[in-house]
Amino acid sequence: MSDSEIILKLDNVGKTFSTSSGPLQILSDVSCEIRRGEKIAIIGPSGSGKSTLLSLIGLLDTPTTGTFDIAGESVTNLDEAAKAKFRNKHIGFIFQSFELIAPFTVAENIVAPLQIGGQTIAYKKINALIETLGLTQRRDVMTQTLSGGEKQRVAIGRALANKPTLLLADEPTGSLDRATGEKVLSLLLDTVKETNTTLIIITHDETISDRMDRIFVLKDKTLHERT
Amino acid sequence: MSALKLILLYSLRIVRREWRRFVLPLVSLTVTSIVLVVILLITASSTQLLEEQARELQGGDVVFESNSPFDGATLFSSADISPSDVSEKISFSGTLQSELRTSAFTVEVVDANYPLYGELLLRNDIFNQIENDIVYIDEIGLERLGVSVGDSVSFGDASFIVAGEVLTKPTSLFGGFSFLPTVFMSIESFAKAGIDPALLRAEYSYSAKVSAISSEMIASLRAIEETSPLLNVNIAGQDQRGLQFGLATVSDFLIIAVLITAVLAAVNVYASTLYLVSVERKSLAVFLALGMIKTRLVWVLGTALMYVVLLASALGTLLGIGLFKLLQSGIASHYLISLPTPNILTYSLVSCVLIFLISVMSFIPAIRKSLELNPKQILIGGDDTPRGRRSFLSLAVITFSTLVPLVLLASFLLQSILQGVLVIGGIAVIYIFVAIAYTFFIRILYKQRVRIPFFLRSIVSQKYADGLFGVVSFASLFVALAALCTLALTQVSLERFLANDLTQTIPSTYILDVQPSQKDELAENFPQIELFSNVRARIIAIDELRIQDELAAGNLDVSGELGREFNLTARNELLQSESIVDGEWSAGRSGEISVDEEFAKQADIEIGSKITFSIQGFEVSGTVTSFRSTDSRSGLPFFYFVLSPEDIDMFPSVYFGYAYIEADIQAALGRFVATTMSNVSVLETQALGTLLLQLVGTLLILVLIVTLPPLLIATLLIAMLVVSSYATRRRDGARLRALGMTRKRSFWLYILETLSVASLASVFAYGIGVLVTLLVNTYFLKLDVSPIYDTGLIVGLGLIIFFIFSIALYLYKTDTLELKEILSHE
Repeated sequence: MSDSEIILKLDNVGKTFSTSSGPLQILSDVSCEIRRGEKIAIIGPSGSGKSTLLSLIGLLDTPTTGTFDIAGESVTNLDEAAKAKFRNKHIGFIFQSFELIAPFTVAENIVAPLQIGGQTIAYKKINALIETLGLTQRRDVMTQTLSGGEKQRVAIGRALANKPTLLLADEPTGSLDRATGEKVLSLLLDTVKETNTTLIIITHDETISDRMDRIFVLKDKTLHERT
Repeated sequence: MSALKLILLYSLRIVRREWRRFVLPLVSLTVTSIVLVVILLITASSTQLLEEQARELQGGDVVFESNSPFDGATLFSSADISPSDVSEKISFSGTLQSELRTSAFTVEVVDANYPLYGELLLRNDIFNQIENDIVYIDEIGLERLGVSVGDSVSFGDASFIVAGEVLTKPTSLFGGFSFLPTVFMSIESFAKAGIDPALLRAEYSYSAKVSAISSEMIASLRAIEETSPLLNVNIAGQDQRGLQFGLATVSDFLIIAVLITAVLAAVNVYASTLYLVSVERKSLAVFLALGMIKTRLVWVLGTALMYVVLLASALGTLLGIGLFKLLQSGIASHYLISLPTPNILTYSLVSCVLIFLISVMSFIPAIRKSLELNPKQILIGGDDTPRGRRSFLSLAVITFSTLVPLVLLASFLLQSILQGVLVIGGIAVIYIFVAIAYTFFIRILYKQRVRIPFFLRSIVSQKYADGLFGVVSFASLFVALAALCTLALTQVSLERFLANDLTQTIPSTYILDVQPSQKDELAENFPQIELFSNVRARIIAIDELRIQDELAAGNLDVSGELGREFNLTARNELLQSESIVDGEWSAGRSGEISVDEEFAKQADIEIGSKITFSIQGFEVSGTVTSFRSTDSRSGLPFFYFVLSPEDIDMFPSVYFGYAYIEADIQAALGRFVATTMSNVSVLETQALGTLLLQLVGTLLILVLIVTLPPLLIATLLIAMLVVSSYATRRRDGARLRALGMTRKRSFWLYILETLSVASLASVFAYGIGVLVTLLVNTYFLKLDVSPIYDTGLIVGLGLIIFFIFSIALYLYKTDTLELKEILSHE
């Protein structure tokens, strides 16, 4: 794949929810093209639909209107099993609340996407990743005992373990203090740069959005690129 | 990594690391497995014992029985059967006496071939053959007469030496229970006693050893039975008789224990799985977000449960087998019965399969919830749980599908699909009713919570938040406790009635089998005795309805009860215990009949109905002129039909009597009867009452065993709720303390919240127990006793609450985290 290759293409994507008081449109005519290796920030006021957009891109939800492609494949109308497979292969998630798997150790959390996808685990590479994340000493520790920063590093490791095409991060430093958040963010940015992974990050923090290649603002149910 | 490897790896990981969440289903399934294995093995073993010992228990391969003498040899000859050996026996009740005392006995007069099968087991001796001038008496008999082996006793005109103490006889499964003690003597000894056989109300039996019984022989024997209405023919292994029927009844009862336990185990598995999915929903949703498909997730969780099922089945089977072996050994040493060992492997497999089915069917509906998981909830939050009508329908489908394997289990155990459906349906209806009532109760309180003090409001809110798990916990514990309370209070009622109330009113003495020729002499010497004639008869017709003919034709509208023999009596006066509720008392007028009120309702008899009886081959008719009711507490003789003496005194009858006499007169009566009319039996009702109490106690112990496994499981469910929700409750308590509540108040709030379900269940269960016991006493047992208070029961309920309190206290006291740590700890 070349650097100029379009990794994500959204074409008039919209999402409407059914509520007891009638249909509620969250997104309308969202269109954009994102290339390989780009770092994208999506900002917007609270309740503007940022997380909804991220869930659509991450194939956790289905758009009501429009289509979108990831890595050249049309994914709009995939069934659940196909979505799960695609998600495992091409998408990595980092959640604000870490969302580590409670009964698993650090190493087990990180290799989980590979195991789920039935891939062979190259332990050397995984160990190298764990070392990059600064978690070698905590490798076989249960995640409940980790600090917030450590947990988010595990989450980053898990998200990158299967070398995804697209990395989606929802307020990755939202639950961390400033200093820890800075460290985690730096680690994240260094790692995605090294692996040339496309990063889409939702954030309220301008210091974070300013470090991205492109900034999109979600406003009035649609996406506007800030120039 | 292959899909199978992934499933096995992840499921094992979940079980090992989240093992606390699996304790409840493990324990529930283990208890159910133990109960199932024990009851399957006991039932199979007992059935095998009865089959193997059918001949011993019956006394022969073929046994003829009649109330009048008959020629057994001729009967076999007419059936073209040549027995290899025969034995004759006469059984009747009579009075024996020693130097000190007298007592009524069941007298077994046996010949030299007795017993054809089995053994008459003696203490410290071996029985070979009955001999003349000696008797063998059982332990109770020796006690009643105050004699030991080697002492002398007399019966009629003769004295005999007690040659041995009988431990068990081959025709009884238990050496213990019978209303009268037993004495064995030879035919020659009986002849020496000089008692006129015509005075006896005896049972004559002729037992035969037949090497192979063909179907032709069976047909011939049945034909003999049909042509001889006074003769019973028993073929070993063919006829359902007392013990076999009793065993079937006890088995059915124990099966209820299994079924209630299985229902609660299924509920626990369902609730635990639901709880696991709810608590771990984020982890499970992450799996989906990482690309695991939902069905694979279901397999992971299902396999995790299967480890638990396997462990529970293995543990339960081993412990169940161990318990069965223990029971086997205990029964052998206490009751001298060797229960055979059935095919343990087969029944263990059956138990494991049933446990597996129950678990799978309980698990599947709960896992449906995991299929509702939506990973997008991690990102955008919210709750996708279907509510309202869809949720209720889903719950109904879930409940119904969980009941299916239980119905299969019940049908298998009860050998009837209809009974299986009815029993499980019944349990389910009660359970669902209680669950719905509790849900509404909490909902109403929750809606009105603004009106109640903060302390109580917190508790109500917590109960509301417990959701389905809380409802299930309450319903399980309530059902188990209500059953326990009802049974315990019923036992108290019966004990009180038998020990206190009954002894206040009933006669001190009953006198049985007085012949017409003995009546006057007895009355002359003991004028305190009231005697009643007792004539056996069958109902030929009620108005135009020919009862025997209709029953023979298989008319199901006619109750089978009407076809049996009845005891008729004749009097001019009403007894103290009786009152006329309709019509006019006959006062001895010829052609009039007084009928028991309840029986008249059952038999559709009205005032003015004409009833025709067959008495010893003659027809006697009368018109119903009154309905009577009898005070059951009086202990006085109870007869469905009272006729005029003029109408039945011409028929030979046996007299039954009662008396209110002191101990010294009672002793004198015993001596008089033993010396001059040994065929008559005198029963002291105090001894009878004690025996009845023992019997009631034994039966109720059996019944209490039924309630213990479900009670254990229900209590565990509550305990699990306490342990599982501790983290949440601790955090809520910390929040309240952060807002200013004192530590002490927070502690008591936590304790009261924790105890609320168990306390509420106990109080309501006790109330329901009192109510149901009252209904049972009034309409079923006809006891005028209403126990409201029972110390043992209240202590038992208190112990359950204390157990839960202890767990809660332990969790609280061992929690060393400071307030700030609790609030910041995830």
